Amino acid sequence: MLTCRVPGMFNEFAAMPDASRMMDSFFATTPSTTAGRLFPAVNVWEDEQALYIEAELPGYALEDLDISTLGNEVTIAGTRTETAPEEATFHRRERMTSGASQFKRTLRIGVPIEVEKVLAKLERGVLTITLPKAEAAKPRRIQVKAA
Amino acid sequence: MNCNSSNCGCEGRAQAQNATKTETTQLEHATFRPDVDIYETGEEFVLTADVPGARPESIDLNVEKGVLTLRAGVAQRGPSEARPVSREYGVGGFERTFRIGEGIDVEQIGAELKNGVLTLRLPKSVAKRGRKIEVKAS
Repeated sequence: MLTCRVPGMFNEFAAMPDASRMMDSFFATTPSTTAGRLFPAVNVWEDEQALYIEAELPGYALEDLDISTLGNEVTIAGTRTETAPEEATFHRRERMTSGASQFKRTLRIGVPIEVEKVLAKLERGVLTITLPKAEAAKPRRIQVKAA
Repeated sequence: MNCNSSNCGCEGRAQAQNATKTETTQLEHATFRPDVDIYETGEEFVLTADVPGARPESIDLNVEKGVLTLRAGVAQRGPSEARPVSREYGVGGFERTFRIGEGIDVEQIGAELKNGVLTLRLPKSVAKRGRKIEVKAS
């Protein structure tokens, strides 16, 4: 482990783009395309290798979804129609994805990603997108040799 | 949360779970009230509940004294070693109860889980189904 013994030596690093900070500010200021409520809500994780985005999309199948990346943005979009019999009388209609539903949400990623290696998985109504970081964005250990 | 139909057998009773999807603290192992749709046809009531993340074996349905209880356990998920960056919703199990009328044939309730949506079919007992009345010309 390389330890910095000189106080303030790496101070400029504090000003570098930080994935978490950029995402937080993005989430706080970008309006959703679904009126009133962000949809889908997302949870995001990060490690040295990748960013992981998770969203709950009950009712959606993979073919109803369109996930794309452009520059440093990831867009999750979906369209589906759920049909009830014509004579049905609704007593409750609370579900976000009831009837004909569509959504689109764009997330800005603060680090360069390997676009070709982005993975999306939909399981039991939960979407997980893995965005591997580009090599340049991964932390590197620097070998320090004794003089 | 009352049904506005006089002959509706399903009266959803909001279980106060004191947890909403937007809370940012105490999210682990929380229990949420699933969003539902309920519709009625001549033959049955159909209840659909969003239970993302639930496995079929974690679903527990129970009818007792006219109350249908729906429970769905959900395992914690997410990359265990990674650092949370943004958290907009909590993950936990689901629970909600519904009062069902005598007009439901409890023995025939069917359940199906697909893409994180649980669909319950509650057939009306034969006596409660709409009957066609034939009008004969005299």
